[in-house]
Amino acid sequence: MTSSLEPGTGTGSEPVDVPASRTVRWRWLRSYPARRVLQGLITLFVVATFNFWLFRMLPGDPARLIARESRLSPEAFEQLRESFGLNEPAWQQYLTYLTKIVRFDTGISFKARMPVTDLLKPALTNTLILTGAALVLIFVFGLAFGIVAGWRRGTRTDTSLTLTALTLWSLPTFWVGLMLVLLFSISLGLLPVAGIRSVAAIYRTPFDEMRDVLEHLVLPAATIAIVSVGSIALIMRNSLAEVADEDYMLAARARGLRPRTILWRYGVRNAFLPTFTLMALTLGLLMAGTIQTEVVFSWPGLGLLMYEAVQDRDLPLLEAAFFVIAVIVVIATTIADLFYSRLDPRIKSS
Amino acid sequence: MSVEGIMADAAPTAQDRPGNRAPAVMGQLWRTGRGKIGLILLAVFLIYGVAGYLAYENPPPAGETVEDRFRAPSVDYLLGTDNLGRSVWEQLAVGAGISLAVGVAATAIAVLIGSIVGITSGYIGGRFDQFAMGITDMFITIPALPLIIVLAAVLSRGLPTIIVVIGVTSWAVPARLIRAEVLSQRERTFILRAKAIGMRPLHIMWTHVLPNVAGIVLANAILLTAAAILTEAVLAFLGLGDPSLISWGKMLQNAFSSGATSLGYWWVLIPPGLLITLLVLSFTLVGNALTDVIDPRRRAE
Repeated sequence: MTSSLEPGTGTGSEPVDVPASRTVRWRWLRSYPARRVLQGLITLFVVATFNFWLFRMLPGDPARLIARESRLSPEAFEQLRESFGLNEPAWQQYLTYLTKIVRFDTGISFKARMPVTDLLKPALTNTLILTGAALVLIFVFGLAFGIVAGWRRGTRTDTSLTLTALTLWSLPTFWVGLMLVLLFSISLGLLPVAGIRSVAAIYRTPFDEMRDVLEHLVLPAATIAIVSVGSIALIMRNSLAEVADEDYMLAARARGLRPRTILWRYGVRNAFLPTFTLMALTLGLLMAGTIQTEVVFSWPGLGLLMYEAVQDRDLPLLEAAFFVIAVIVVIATTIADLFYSRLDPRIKSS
Repeated sequence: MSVEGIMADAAPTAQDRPGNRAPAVMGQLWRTGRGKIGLILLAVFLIYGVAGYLAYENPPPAGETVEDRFRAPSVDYLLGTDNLGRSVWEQLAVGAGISLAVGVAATAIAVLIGSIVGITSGYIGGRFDQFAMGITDMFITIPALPLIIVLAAVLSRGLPTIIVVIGVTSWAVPARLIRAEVLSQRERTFILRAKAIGMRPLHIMWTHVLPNVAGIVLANAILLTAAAILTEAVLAFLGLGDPSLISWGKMLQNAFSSGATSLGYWWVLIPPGLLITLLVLSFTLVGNALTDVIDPRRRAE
């Protein structure tokens, strides 16, 4: 009975139909996946709480502050007070806020005067498109460079790659974007300067639209990738270097296998999965790059939304965008951690 | 017996005490190519920053006529002028000080908080450790830049705000590093000896634990400084910097928002970014090399 509730298998099992003692019934909660998911939820709860109190601890009445910032009419001001329930006690406001967050109701944007959710949905899609495209680039080039460096460890190629990676990491992402625009859009006139689609474009086929979006996607995705590709290459290099010292690599060499076979079948295959999961863990950094890139290229995603919210002092929008980004990162890192713990059981015990 | 006498008795053996390894570490650092380039670059930037601070006022004066705007580089203006006719050369010189000041000050705050959390957590252990590390992990997970943007947007604009905001959001990694190091030191003989003679925990941490973690903390602090300088530039670029001061990120914001990119005015766009990259790179090189020198097993990220 207990064996089915062992750590690692317990996530899917419902404790309800286990007719055993209390300790066994709740044992799945102590399993690594359960603890890890709980940790993620607590993080999001803390972010939500932070958002709530930050908003209310601003000097003065938040509604008045906003009214001053965005010059609302008296009716709108009253509506604002109403919508924030500012006459209720703080703890009640807090509870209301939390229940709303769970239902993804994040309030009304001051600037756009519409539910924040309506603004977030398309932005989220656009951000995921951009981040996804950047990830593909980082993945392909990062792994390629990492494999080359890891395989030629200690050589000139390896040293220069490490230096290149450190230099790329030192670049301000937004400046890389500006430089790419200056070179490819302004000087060479090859690619569009900004946006996600051409202005007033009429598409005859869906294929035309896809091509237009892809053209707009090239530079922003490249911007994010250029800055992050170095770190991924280093991770791949190091994990290949670690694998190289394993006994099975020596055994493979002793068996007289071709170096190419040893590299791909034994080296890359084993070094690949840790790299993949570590990549997911750097997603927080990737989001930082995405925000800057979206601003430079006016890419209508969460980052641009945050930027505009800062300009307009639109606090509900700002906090909601922050919350959504936190959700993305927490989900991704949780999945990566769980995946990683499957690969490397030592993680669970720590 | 005086306190010093007891201390001498309890003093660690040569093997235990890392003692004054600083000169040796510096020598090794200098011998790595990365470390040497980084240190030279850092020295140059330090001189540049001080000279710029002394030579020019921040912000540099605006141009007198409309014709002064976006002047291309010439003999009069070595690197041309910006959208308000201010000399790019002078702006670059005053910007160096801002980057260095924010980088170092924010890192000092982060390392201070990180040390307090890391040392107490590792030394006390148990439930307190679990709780403190739970919070630390949370700070590692929460995406830093969005959090910094939210904080900077709400608080009053200014250099102190930027420094504090970056500082209080980047202590988590040093805290983790320091805790790990404290855990590995805790059971070593000279610490146990100090405990046995009844030294107070705070005293033990200060005299024995701290010197032992100093190396790894310094290496991490240098990398943190690099990250802090980048973050300051991003905040200034997003319009969240100190409105009354010119910094490199602010220069790029001015250029970007005044349409210099579309006009192809490279002299307001290339130099500030290049200097940010070089300054960040010099810290990164030194931090990376120092990490390898202090602990060859630990590979730099």
